[in-house]
Amino acid sequence: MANIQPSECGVFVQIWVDTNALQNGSTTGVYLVDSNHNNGSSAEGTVNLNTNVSTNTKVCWQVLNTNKNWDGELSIQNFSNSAVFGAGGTPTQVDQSTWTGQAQANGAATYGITFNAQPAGGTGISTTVNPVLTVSNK
Amino acid sequence: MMMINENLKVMKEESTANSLNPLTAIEIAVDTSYVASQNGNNISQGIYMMDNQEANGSSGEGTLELHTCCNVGSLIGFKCVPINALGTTGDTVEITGFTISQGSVFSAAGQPVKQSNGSYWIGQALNTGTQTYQIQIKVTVGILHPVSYFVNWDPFITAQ
Repeated sequence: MANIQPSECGVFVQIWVDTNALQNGSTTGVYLVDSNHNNGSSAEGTVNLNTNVSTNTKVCWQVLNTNKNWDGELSIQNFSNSAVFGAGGTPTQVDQSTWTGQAQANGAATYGITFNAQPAGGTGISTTVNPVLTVSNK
Repeated sequence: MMMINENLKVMKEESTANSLNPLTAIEIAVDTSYVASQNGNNISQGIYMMDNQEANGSSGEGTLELHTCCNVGSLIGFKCVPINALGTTGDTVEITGFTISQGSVFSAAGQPVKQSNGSYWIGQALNTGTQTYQIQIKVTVGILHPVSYFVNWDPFITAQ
């Protein structure tokens, strides 16, 4: 499947990271929000974000630092498989901080996003969050 | 000659402000379609504030009621962004102003100043203590017939 461009997406998820609070094995300092509260998304601002979309919606994920002047690199490493991505919707990389995918199958399921925070000249920390994607015909 | 000097002075002040790197950073992520759907009514969802001071005691992260804890003297950056910034809707958000509801952490000299792009302001926590401040943003949706909505709410800052 060709990469989905962010401009094709109907729903956007931002993963905000406070790299001052980040610790190995913890999700403290990680906040997920999306652009779809009007369509039933819930738990925005937490790692338990439940994004509600209609079937076949293209979704864009972006990882960002709460400090825009942070001297380091934030990157999404990978997404886990999840039933709601269906046969061909599993997210793929657009660039270091941006991935896109498609919610091809109805249902509600968690999916894993692993990202890496690499301070300039320091040791990176990898963190995995497991939010929910709820897909239905709307 | 006087006029040339005045112009140089203005340019120098701007370039200094652009190179500031606040140790305290506050992000405001805006669900623009939700804000638009509320038609200017008070909202309690759809705008999410986060900072880089959770390890310093900040609370209310991911909500409208962020309580930022910072060190006295710290510069504080306020940045707002539409959650659908990478999309094609053309929605924009910018900060239009700050007022102080209670307390005096900024004082007059630390009152936030708009940077070259209205989505980014910088203030300074000059006094210890806690203040309630009001932040107002302008959310604009649509490209051909853009409509703007003004929203304000009351987060907190404690300088220690």
